Amino acid sequence: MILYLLFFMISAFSFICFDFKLSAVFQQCGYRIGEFFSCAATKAESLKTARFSCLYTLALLTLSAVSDDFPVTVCLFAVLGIGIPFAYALAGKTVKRVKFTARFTRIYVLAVILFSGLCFSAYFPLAFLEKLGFGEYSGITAVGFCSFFIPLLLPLSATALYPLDRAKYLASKRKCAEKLKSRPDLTVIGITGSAGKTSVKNYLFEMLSRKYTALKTPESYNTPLGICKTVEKLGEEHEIFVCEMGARRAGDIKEICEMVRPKIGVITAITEQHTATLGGIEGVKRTKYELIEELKGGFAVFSSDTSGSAELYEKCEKEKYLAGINGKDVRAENVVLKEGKILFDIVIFGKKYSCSCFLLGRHAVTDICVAAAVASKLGVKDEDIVIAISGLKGEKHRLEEIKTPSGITVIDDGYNANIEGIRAAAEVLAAYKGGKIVVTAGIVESDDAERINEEVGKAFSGAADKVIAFGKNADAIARGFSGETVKTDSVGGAKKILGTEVKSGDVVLFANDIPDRYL
Amino acid sequence: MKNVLVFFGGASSEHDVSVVTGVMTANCLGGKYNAVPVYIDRENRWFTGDMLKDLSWYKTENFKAVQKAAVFAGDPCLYAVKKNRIKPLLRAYCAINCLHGLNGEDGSLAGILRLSGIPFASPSIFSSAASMDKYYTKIALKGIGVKTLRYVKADREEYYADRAKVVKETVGKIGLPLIVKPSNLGSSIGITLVKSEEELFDAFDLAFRFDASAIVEVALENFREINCACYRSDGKCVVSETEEPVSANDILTFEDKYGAGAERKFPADIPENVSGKIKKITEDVYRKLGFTGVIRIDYLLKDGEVYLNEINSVPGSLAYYLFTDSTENFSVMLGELIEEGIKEHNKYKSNVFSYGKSNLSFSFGKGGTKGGVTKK
Repeated sequence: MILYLLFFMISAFSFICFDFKLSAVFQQCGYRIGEFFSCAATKAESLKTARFSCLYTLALLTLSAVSDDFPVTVCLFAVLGIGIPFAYALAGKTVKRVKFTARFTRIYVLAVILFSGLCFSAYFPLAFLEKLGFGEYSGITAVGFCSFFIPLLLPLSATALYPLDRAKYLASKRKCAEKLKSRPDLTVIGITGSAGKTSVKNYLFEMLSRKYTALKTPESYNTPLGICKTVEKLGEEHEIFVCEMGARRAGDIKEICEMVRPKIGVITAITEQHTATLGGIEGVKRTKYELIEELKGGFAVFSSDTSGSAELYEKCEKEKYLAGINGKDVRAENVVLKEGKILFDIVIFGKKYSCSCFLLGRHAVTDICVAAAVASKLGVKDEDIVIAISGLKGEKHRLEEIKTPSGITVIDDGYNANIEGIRAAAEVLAAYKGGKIVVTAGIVESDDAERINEEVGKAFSGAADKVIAFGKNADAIARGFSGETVKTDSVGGAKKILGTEVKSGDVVLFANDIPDRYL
Repeated sequence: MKNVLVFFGGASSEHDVSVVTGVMTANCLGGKYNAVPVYIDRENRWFTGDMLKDLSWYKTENFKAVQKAAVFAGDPCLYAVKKNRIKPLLRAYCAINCLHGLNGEDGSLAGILRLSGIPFASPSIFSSAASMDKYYTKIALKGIGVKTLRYVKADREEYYADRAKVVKETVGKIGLPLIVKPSNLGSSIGITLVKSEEELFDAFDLAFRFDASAIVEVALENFREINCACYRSDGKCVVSETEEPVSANDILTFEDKYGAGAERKFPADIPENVSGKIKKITEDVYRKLGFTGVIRIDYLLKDGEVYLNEINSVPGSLAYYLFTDSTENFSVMLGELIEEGIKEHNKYKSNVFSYGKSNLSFSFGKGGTKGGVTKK
């Protein structure tokens, strides 16, 4: 009996440990099995798991062969059974942790049970080894064998639970749609695009709040379920619902639109980012344009500052406005980047106002113009828009300025993932006084890492005094950068070097690319 | 044991300093008083629990180890809130406000305590609010004839309507250099020393992020800063010696709670007639603006002229270091403050608020429509 209990505990424990990182990947993939298996991180992690499984199996097998003494074996099993999976879980670091949502917990618990079941069913054939003289407890080696299958278990469990999850999903979508349908007085604004969705949403919300009571999707919630959750908070007091819409696949935006029925559509920047699942830049444009096709009356606003969004503006035949630094209906002039702020003149439908905002990066002005166009069309006074602009706050990890007590200014650009972003960050850094140090790993997710990371180095030439480059792109960055580059292998190393180099009055830019699924 | 609620934390830029003041106060309360910490987090949620008396709790912020708390109008008790269920915890004998800055020092806590009927050993609603807002401080001080620096009030809406005009007018009225301060903020955040007209744009932009109005004052040069504190014990004002903070850091941290000599000069090295004048103004302000609890007033001194700079209705560490150098004496002082708070509360309660039963209930009784109210 004790042995069975131990057996169960070891199996559950090894599952939890071996699946520690994979479960995070699985969650990041939105529990989509195809995406999970095609994801590079899955392959890399599965390989590692397999290697550890080999070691694990061998260890258990050897152990059962050498010892027949019950208490000793049990102890050794316990030590090994815990030690190896634990060592695996600790090896390497995790960037993203899993979040135990109700759905994930269901999937996870079922996977643990499935794994234990698998181990038990392998136990009996393996107990056969005993007869070959492998020792009394060779059956427990089953856990080791079965651990090879661990990467398959979460998808399996998710598949088994799919009907239940699907039913729940449809029910909450229906509930959300019905609630919104019962509010014909509510103005729904949909915002989509490759970049700047969250910023435009927040800026627009601040501007609208000077005249209306608005509700917005929090943080970067932009999936149907995230939107459903937000709509639960919708009350009689709300007059406007600002809804960020994300798309991973064609049809996603249409699905959200059918649920929330937007009157006003906003298309922010359209870039080459995350184009894989949407079928290239044309696919991105098509998907984002679903929002415009679904509009119920109202109007559409497009960002003028990427060619993709400007093309969609040309294509649109509904009431439409073009906004951005080079916009038509709302545009910005005399944009000057200063330390920690931007000065510019905004022209709102022909009227010009001088503005300042405590945001970093030129693209913030684009996003402000787009938001201002919507707010102005909805009747927010220009003066109120200008006041709202002066009070806008940036987002975390997106060119976020942090002043440390020791007199160092840190610019956290931890979500920077493309060369345009790097160039924007370099421009921001150039506006600062004092010693300037960049800490970067370059751009990790790229087909042409050598060339693109040389570009990264070039972008910082002139803007920074020193670059601390870490990771496999350090050499390429050093080639491109005109100043001194300090190379190191890890984030930890970079931080150590930084600690010795930085002094009060310096500006440190963390321009890092931590893509969601690289763990 | 008499339960004394100690409020600290708060949704303000001075949250951390307030935690230090509050934890210290809660630990110094002793004798017949039982200190009940009420920590207010940055989202204005209230918590209570003995763990909150330990500074190390704030490193981990383990909310599972503490209880959500609340008070209700017309009921001088502290309640625990658990999943929308409320449970009375204790009857509050008195409360001490250790919240610095907005959402606490500004009279809002005094207001909630007043409505619940909990006596408090801290400034009242009006005097707190008037000392928090720099504009109202100026008006109130003018009313009682206390000298402050020349100033103008700047308004956010007006500024953004025509920035150049407001900047020009401000410089015209005050001259350079000048200081811009958001009206409503207690700490040094948002305050800029301005030496040129161009810098004033940046200063306004910054100040108006924090408040819809700002105070613009002449900036003195070669001035000295002098502080003086006051509280009332048994009906009499106790005025401290004057001190001169030497560092720019005017907030007493936990490390220098015993006032290491390098940080400040105490008593301040100023002529006796000047310190006498400062002490007299301090007592005058305390009496005339109707304070209770302990306050600290900061002055600017230049060429023998004394200007009142600001009134702290909840001073850091409750300014105990200006009265005593031992925590035992601080404990005694807290006792005096509490008993004074109780007296004030009783005085307030004996005021006449209404004339017995209202006419409304009378008309209800008859089922009539007197007073325009119809019984449903």
